[in-house]
Amino acid sequence: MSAALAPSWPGSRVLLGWWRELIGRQPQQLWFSRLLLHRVESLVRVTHTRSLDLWQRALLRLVHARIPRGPDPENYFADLQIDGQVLSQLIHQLTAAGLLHMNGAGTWDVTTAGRHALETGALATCSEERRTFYFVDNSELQCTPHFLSLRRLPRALASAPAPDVATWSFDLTCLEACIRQTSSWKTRYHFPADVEAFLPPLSNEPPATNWRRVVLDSPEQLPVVFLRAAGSPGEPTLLGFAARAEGWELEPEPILAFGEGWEEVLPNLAAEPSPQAWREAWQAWSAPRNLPLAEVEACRLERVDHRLLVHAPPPIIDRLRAARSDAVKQEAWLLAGSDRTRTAAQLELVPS
Amino acid sequence: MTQRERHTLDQGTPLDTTGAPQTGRSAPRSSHGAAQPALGDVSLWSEWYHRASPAQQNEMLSRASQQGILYAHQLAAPTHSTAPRRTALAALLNGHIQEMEPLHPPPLEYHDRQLDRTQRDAVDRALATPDLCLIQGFPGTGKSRIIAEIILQAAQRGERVLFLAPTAAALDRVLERLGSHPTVCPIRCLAPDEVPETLPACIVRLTMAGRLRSYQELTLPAARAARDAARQAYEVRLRERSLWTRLVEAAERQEQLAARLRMLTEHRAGLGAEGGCTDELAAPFRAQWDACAGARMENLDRLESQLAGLRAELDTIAGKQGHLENEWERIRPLAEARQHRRFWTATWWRARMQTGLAEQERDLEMRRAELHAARQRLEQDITARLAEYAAIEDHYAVECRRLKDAEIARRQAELDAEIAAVSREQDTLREQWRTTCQAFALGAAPTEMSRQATLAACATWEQQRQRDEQQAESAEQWLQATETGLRTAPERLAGCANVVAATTTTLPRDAHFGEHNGTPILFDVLILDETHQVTESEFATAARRARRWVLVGEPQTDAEHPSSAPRKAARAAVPQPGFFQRLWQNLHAEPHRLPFVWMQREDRLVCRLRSIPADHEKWIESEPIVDRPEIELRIVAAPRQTPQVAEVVFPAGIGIAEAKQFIFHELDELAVSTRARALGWSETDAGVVLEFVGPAVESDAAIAALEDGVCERVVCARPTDGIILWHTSHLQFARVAGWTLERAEQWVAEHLGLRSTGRTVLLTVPHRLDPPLAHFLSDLLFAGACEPLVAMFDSAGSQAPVEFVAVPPLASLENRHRPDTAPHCNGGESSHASGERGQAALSVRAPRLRSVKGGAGLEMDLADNRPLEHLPADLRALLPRQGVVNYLEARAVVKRLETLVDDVAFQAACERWQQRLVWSCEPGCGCPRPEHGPAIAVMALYSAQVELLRHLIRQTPALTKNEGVIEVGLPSAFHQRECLLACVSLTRSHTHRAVSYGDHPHVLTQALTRAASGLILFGDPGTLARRSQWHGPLDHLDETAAQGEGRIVSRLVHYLQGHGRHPASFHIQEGSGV
Repeated sequence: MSAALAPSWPGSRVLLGWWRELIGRQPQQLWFSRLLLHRVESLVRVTHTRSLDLWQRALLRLVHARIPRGPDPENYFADLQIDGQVLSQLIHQLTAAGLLHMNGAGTWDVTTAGRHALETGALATCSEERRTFYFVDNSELQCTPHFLSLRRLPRALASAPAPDVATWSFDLTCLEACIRQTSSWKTRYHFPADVEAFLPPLSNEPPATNWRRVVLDSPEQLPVVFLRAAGSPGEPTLLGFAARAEGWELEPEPILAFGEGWEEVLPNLAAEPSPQAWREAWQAWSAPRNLPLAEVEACRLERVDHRLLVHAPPPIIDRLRAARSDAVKQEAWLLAGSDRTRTAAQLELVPS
Repeated sequence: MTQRERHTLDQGTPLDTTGAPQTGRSAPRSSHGAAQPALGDVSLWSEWYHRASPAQQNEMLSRASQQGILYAHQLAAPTHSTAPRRTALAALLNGHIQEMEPLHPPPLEYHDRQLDRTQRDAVDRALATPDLCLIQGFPGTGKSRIIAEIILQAAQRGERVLFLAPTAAALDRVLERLGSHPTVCPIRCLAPDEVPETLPACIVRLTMAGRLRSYQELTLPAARAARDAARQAYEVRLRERSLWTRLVEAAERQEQLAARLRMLTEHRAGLGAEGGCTDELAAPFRAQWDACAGARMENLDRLESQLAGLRAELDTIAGKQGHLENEWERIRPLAEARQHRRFWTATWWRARMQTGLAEQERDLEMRRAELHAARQRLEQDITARLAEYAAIEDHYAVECRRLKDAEIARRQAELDAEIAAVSREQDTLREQWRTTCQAFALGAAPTEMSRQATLAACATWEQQRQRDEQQAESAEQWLQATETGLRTAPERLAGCANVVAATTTTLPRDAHFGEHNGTPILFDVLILDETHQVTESEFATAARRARRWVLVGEPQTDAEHPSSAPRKAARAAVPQPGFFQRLWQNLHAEPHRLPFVWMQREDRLVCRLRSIPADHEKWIESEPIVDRPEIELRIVAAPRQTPQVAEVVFPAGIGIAEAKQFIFHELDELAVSTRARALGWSETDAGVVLEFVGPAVESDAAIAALEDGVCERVVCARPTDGIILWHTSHLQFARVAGWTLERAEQWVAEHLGLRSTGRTVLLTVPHRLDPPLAHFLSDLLFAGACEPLVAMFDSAGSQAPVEFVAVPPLASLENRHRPDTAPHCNGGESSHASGERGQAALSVRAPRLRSVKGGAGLEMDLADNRPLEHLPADLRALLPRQGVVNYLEARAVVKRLETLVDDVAFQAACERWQQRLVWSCEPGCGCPRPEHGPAIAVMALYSAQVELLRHLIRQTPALTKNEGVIEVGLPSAFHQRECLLACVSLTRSHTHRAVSYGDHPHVLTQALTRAASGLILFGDPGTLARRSQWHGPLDHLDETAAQGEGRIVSRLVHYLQGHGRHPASFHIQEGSGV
C-alpha cells in the first residue's frame, strides 16, 4: 500500500467561481467532498420488461384466436403466406420467451405468460448480468456504505489511492440489503428496480461458470461539489457536480441528485462544522493576509445560511479594504472541516 | 445465452470469446434511467479475468471463494496487457496454443446422414469449439456440405451464424443446400454490383430485397385476404344471429304442433272406444240421442204400468187360486175317497155323509178352471208386454249405436281435418326450418328440430361467433401489424435472420448488417468459407462480429508450399503463407512431418531418425553399439557440426517390434513414422487410442510394447520402389495401467512434440472426383496429400482420366528440335471413345515429351496491330481488341469436342450426368443442383480465347446441337461448380520465352479441379517445358505466384515426360488432327 498524497482543496476564487456558475440553481449551501466510493461489480438477477414486438404480438393473438389445425407452423398459418423460415423464427422467439408452447396434442397453445403478455402488451424476462453498483464509504462516521446512484459515469472518476488493506472492506450484506429494500426506498435512492437478487459465487461450480459470480470491489474517488438548492417540492434538493481536480472544472450537469433523505446517504454533509472548525478556517484564511492574530482571534463568527459573518474590528476591515481584499467585496470563500467533506461559506465582514 | 436470444430478448451484454461481456459496450438500460448509464461501463473483473493467465485466474477464484469478495488491489497485473481478442488472435497466429484445452466433442445427430466420418468430426468440432475451428479440405471434399450442416446445427441450438466468404458463389452453394429448411432463416447480403436477376431464384428469395418482396407481394395481400375472410365470416355470423329467434320460435311451435297432433291422434284413436264419445256430445247428436232415450223411456213406462196392472191381476188370481186350492185341499181327501170308492175308509163314509160335496167339488173345479184360464191370459199379456219391453230396449240400443256411429264418423272427420291441418303446419314449419338452417354456415345449424337442440346449437354458435370475432380482430391486428411493419420490415427481418451470408467485402457496407450505423449485430459463430483467399485484416474485421470462428478453406497447393520450393528459388525470400495457413500450421498437429522413417533395406531394418541431405551422405560413418555390436549406428559427422545419429540399422532377424522397443528405450525416441496428416484420439473401455489418420495401408501389423500400458501398432506399407516401409497406425494406452486421455495426450506431446488442440479437421477424401482423377490432381497440385481413401485404381483395361492434347503435336515439336526423332501421332483419335486402343497405343509407343527448347509460337496477341495470319478475318472481327488467343488450339478443342459428342459411351455418361440435375432446392424452384455444372466445361485461361472458343463452337453444327451439354467460360465461371469433363485450353504458345498461365496460379488450379471424372488439357508442350525451367518472377506474377505456377507446370511437364507418379492416369494425345 502506498501512502496517499495530501489532497489539495479548492481556494476562495474557485469556490466563488462555482457559486457564480451554479447561481442559476438558487444555491443555498455549498460543500466540496472527495467521495470515497466502493465500485462493486457482481452478478445479479434482473428482470427486464419489454414491449412485445408488433409482429410477435399479432402472431400471438393469431395463435390465441385460431382453431388449432396442427403443429406445423407453416401449415398452421399457410393462409398468411408468410415466409416459412421467418415464421419459424417468430414462433421460435415466442416459444423461447415462454409465450407459446406445444401442447400434448401437438398443437400450439398460448401460455399463461403469453395471455398475460397479450393483455399487457409487455413481456417480463429474467436474466443474469454483471452489474456495477457504487457505494459511498462512510467509515469516517462509523456508518455503513450507502448506495449511490450516479446519473452517468463522470469524467473525473479516478482510482482512489490504494486503501489500507487492513481497513478497506465491503460488507456484501449492504448490497443484499439494498436489493431487499422497499420499492419506495429504491425509488428514493434510485436503486435499480430491475435487480431482483444477488448471485454470489457457488462453492461447487466449475470456474468456467463460477467466474462470473465473483464480486469485485474497487475503491474510487470522486471530487464532488454539492449544492443545496431551494428547489420546488418534488425536485431534488441536493445536487452533486463532478469536479475535475485539474483546473477545478465542474461538469455542467449534476451526476448526483437527492430529494428527501440525502442526509442518510451523506451524513457528513448533514453535520455542520463546529464553531472551532470555522474559526480555524477563518484563521487559515487570515494568516496569509498578515492580519494581526490577536484581532483575528477577537473576531466573532456567525453562520447565516451560506455565509460566515465575521464581526471584525474596524482595523481589520480597514486593512483588508486597503489591500483590496475579496472579503471586502464579499467575494471571499473558505472551507471548513477536516475530513473528506468540507463546508463552503462566503465570508462577510461586519464591523463590530 | 446465444446472440440470437440476446438480440431477441434485448438483454445481456455481448460476450467475448470466452463468454465474457465485451468491453466498450453498454449493458442494457433499465427503465430506471438514473443508475444504469453509470453501471454499464467496463467490467474490470471480466477484463482482468480474460487477460490473466489460468494460474492467476485460479488463484483469484480461490481467493474469491474464501473471502466472498475480491478487492481490486488484490488483482495482480494480468499476463496479457493488450486487448484480449486481438491478443488471442495474435497468439494463435504466433503459435501460442499452450493454454488451449484439447477439444473432444461428442457426436451429434446429423441432418445430412451421408456425411463421412471426417466430415462428421468436422461438424462436431466446429460446434463444440469455444473459440476457433479450422477445417481444411481439398477441392471436392465436401466443405460446402459441412458448412451447411454446421449452420443447421448451430441454428438448431438457437445460435446466430455469420457466414462469410470472399466470393458469392461459395455463399450460394451453401445457401442452396440449406434451401427452405425451417430451422434456418438466412439473409443473403447483396454486393453493390450484384444484380438479383442474375442469381438463382432460390438465392434471390433469401436476399433482404427478396424477402421484402415476398412480404409485400404475398404476406401483405394474404393478410388483407385473411382479414377480409375473417371479417366476412364474422359478418355472416352476425347475420345468423336473427335466425336463431326464428329457429327457436319454430322449434317451440313445432313442439306444440307435435303435442297437438299427438293429442288429436290419441283422441281420434279413442273415439271408437266404448263411451268414448259421450263426453263431448254435439247438440244435434244429443237431441237425437235424447229423443231416442225419451221415446224409450215413455214406452217403457207405459209397459211398466201395464205390466204392473197385469201382475196385480195375476197376483189376485193367484190369491184366488190359492184360496181355491186351500178349499180343494180341505175337501180333496173326501172327494178322492169317494171318487175311488174306498168305502172301507172313514173318509168315504164321511163323504157320503156330507151333503153337497159333489156340488162343491164341481164348483171348485169350475172355479179353478176359470182362474186358470184367467191366469194364463194374464201371463200371456205379461209375456207380451215383456217382449215389447225387450223390443223397445233393442230398438233403443240399435238407435244408440246408429247415433253413436254417426257421431264418431263425424268427429273422426273433424279430427282428421284437424290432424291434416296440423301436419300441414308442421310441414310448413319444417320447410321454413330447412330454409333457415341453410342460411347457416356449415355445421352451425341444429341437428334436430327441437327447442333443446336449437338452444344447444345456438350456444355452440355463440362460441363460434366469439371465436370468429376474435379471429376477425386478430386478423385485423395482423393486417395492421404487417402494414405498419412494412416500414420497419427490414429491421424485423434482420432480427429474424439467424444466418447472415455475405461476402467479406460486402458485410461491412451492408445496410442491415454492416458496421456503418451504430452498434453492429453480433453473432455466436462466424463461418468463413474459402478462408485461404481471405486476408488477415479481412478476417480481423469479421472476427469482431462473432464469439466463435469456424474457418474453412483449402490447403496450400504443393506449389505454394515454401518447403517445396526448388533450389534456385530457395535463395529468394521464402513466400509467407496466408494467415489461414499460419493458423493451420500452429493449431494442427501434422504427424507426417515427423522425421522418422522405418524401412526394410536388404533384410535389415533401418530406422532413420532424421533426414539426411544429399550432400551430407558422404559424411555418414557407421559405428556399432558397444553392448549390441550387431546393431549399427549411422552417424552424420559433417565438418564443424555436431555429429548426429542419423540412422539405426538392425541386423536381420530383429523384428519391427523389438527394434521399436530398442529405439524407445535406448535412444529415448518415440520414432513414429507415418503418412498421417492428423491425429485422431478416441476412448474405448479398454483405454485411449491415438489413431494416425491417413491413407489406408494394407499389410500385416505388429505390436510394440513401449512402456507400461503403452503399445505401438505398426503396419507394413506396400513396397514402393522396392523398399518396404513401416508406418505406425495407432498408439494404444491401456486404462488398466492408469492411462487417461489427458495423460496420454501429455505423453504424446512430450515424446512426439505433437499436441492436438482438437480444433482442426483435414478433409482428404475427394468425394467429387473419381479416384483416378483425384490421384492425379493430388499429385499435380497437392503433392499427394489429397489421397482418396481407396487404393489406386487398376489401370489395366480402363482409360486414363487425364488426357493431354498437344498443340502442335509432340512429334512436330521434337522434329523441329530433334530431327532424328520419329513422330508419334495417333491421329487425334479419342481415348475416351476408344479407350482400349488408346491404352494399347500408350503401352506400345506412348508419346512423351523429350528435350524441347521452346514453344511453337501459336498464340496471338489481339492487341498486336500486325495482321494475324492464322486467324480468319471473320473471326477476328468478332473477338475483343486485346487478349491472347490460340486459334489452332481452339480448333483442336472443337475437334476434340466433336469426337466426344459423337461418342456413344460419352453420350450415355452425359445423360446420366443430366439426370443428376433433376433436383430442386424447394418446390417450384427451378434451380439446378448447386454443385452441378454442364457435362462438358470448356475453359480457357484467357477471356479472348474463351470468346474464340464460343464462336468456333457456334459455327460447328455438331456442337450447337449439344448446346446444353457444353458450357464455355473462364475458370472463375465454374467456381463452386463441377462438370463431368473439363476441357482446358492453356492457350499460351510462345516461341522462346517462359510465359505465365492465367492471371494467378489459382486460376489454373481452379480449372484443373472442376471435373468429376475426366480432364482434357490442350497446350503447347514446348511452352510448358520452357515455363517449367523458369523460376523467377514472370510477367505480372510476383516471385511467390510465379513459383507456385511454375511448380504446377513442372509437375505437368513431368507427366508429359513420362515421369509422373500416376502414369496410368495420364494419357498424351499426340496431335489434335487439326
